Amino acid sequence: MEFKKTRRRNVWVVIAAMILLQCVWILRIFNSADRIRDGWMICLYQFPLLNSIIMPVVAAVIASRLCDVEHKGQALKLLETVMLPGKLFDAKFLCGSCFIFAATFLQFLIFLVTGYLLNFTGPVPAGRLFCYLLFTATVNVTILLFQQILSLLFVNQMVSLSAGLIGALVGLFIMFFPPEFERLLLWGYYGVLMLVRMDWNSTTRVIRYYWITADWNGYLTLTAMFCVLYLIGRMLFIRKEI
Amino acid sequence: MLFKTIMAEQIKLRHSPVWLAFIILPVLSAVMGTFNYLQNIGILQDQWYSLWTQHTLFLCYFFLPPLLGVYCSYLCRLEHTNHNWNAVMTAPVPISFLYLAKLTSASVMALFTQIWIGILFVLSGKISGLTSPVPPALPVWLLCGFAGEIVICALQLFISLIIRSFAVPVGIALIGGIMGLGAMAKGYGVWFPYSLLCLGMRANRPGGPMQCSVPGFCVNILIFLILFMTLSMIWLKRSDVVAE
Amino acid sequence: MSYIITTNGLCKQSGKAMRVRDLDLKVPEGVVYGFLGPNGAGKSTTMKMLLGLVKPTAGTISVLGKEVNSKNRLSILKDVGSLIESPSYYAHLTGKENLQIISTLKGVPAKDIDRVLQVLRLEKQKDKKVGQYSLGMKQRLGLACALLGRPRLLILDEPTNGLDPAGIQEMRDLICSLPQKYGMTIMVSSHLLSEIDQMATYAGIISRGELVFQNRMSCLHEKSRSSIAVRTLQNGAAAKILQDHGIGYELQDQYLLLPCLNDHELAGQMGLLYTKNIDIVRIEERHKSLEDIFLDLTGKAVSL
Repeated sequence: MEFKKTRRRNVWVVIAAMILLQCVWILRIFNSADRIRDGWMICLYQFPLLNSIIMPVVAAVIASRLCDVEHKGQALKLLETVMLPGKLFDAKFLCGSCFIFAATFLQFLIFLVTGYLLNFTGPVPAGRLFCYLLFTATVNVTILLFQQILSLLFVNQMVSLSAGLIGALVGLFIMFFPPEFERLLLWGYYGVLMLVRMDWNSTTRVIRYYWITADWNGYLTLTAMFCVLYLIGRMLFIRKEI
Repeated sequence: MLFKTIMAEQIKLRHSPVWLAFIILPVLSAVMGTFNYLQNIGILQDQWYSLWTQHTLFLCYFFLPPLLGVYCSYLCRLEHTNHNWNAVMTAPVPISFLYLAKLTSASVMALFTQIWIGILFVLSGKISGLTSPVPPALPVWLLCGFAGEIVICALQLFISLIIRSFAVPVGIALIGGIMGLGAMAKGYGVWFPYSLLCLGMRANRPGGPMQCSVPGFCVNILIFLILFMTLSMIWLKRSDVVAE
Repeated sequence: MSYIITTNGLCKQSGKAMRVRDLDLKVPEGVVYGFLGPNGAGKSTTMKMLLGLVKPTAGTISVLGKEVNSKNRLSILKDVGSLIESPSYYAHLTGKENLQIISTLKGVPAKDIDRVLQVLRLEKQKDKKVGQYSLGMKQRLGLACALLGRPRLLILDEPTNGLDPAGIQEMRDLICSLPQKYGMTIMVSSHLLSEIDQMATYAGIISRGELVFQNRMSCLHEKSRSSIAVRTLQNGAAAKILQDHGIGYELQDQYLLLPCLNDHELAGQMGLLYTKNIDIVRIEERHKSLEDIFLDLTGKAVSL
């Protein structure tokens, strides 16, 4: 039912634009041979970076579109007589998650395709790629959850979109900070869960990428954050008086 | 009469949380940028100029366009709800003034943002212990950035007039900002509205001249401004008012 | 008689359908003009065209003696107040601030705000955010905005929508008093025929985009014929007696409907029946209701 409301609502436009952008970005990066050597690693480095800027805003847009529909038509009153507010919350989240999963998956496909077309050297690091997909998807939906809570609680969408922008900025910057900070903030988890680190040697100006083991502790923390956020957010929404 | 229309716009903005992002975003950018600068002071040796890149690089490409987009979306959102277009379009005010009043409102906020960025910059520099004098070209950077911001506001207002959602124009602004990065890299910065802001702020290379010709910059700002204003006014005048 | 609004062959096409077709409105000055029509007949569309919100496909409109086009737009709108579709407001602002916005745009002094607040009895709520107003209060606020600046013409789209009976009465009295007090002309559209009946002196009825009636209300009333309904315990015999005396009748639901007779004739007929031992149990006067007239004119049931 939620999908019906999003018909004619341009959400796909934004996602499509985002994917397009990432294609362009990828093509720009891989214009030298030695980069292709490190192909997979570069992807898994650049994309979280890109994601931390784009995805919070995209998540904010999606959440805002889904919740805005209700606020504008003042349909919350109507809907809450038809269904439990808890279910409404869940339904919206599921709908939003579908969009997010679609976007994440498409992004993933893009660099699979690029890897294939440009013949990245070395075996396809399937395990790592899968981890990437999982991690990214989880961070994305957690941010979506956060945005949804804001969009539902505040009728003025300005608040939730501003928060999305601020979150994106914070997430981006925090990547350049020591790793301890990254764990504290939700948006930092793009960095925490990155599988590749870059080592920039200033004297030789050589960039070296190296794998690091997946940070499962970080993932668990993230999942815990997600659960807590979900419970609190749902409760707040149910309690909220219309 | 234009003044009266602008006054009316200002009344509409009372009790609105517009300041939230406008104050916080530059503060965060300044704090983190300064922190970053201090961490990497070995590499970033240009003092004030390096600090400037740290502050503004991300802001200009990634975060100021959506911020302006949020603001313009909000301005148009006030009219899109509650059948307000009916009331607005039957007021005895020229339609062009309605658009100009909104543009002025957005530009004033953009100006405050610029000033705030400037203040934060000087403060952070002093706190970081930079001893050399503040770059004298700072006001020029801020002013040119402001000119770029007005162009973005004009474009975003047009998009928000046509697309009646709050969030989608913000998404478009974000994408536009990122594409601005690409445009700059390829050297087409002057021809792309979203990158005029970055050019003006000298986000990439603060020390030297603008990465394009000064007359080219000014002319393009004017052309884009006139283009978006004309498009918006034609849209407002020609289309039938649909209030909901 | 001067007309404050005239339209000539006004048409509006939307997609494949003609919303409004060859409309020739003539609204006289200084009256309350009721604009009636079933749902979807084109009332709101016509009113929007009068205000310049919607561009007509064909035809001309003249308001306050000037043609409606972009040149005259400002001078016409200065003297027109309107309430179209729903009342327009900024929910996060107070009632007074909403009025301030309109008064700033119209160039009206601040004390006019207090005047309209008083006229519509909104002084107590003026500092409350409009988002918290009840529907009736929002409607009153919308009318207050329209009244700012003492316009010469008011165009109101269903102004009594959402008001309780007391509120409807007040609104009605207010609207009726405006032409005498301020010399305003008011064009009111409504579904409620009874409302228009009590408020308006002129009426225009629109159906499926075409004007089917435009005249004084009294003409509309004249279209209703009244009849006398008589019920007796021996309807069959009574009918025969009336027929023998040349009185036409119609049998309906155990009532004999007789054409309108004056009192003497009626008394004579009833006396005649009585002498023939017919037991008369009911004598009623029936009017064809406005609803019925409306139905005949528009060929459609009036929905609320």
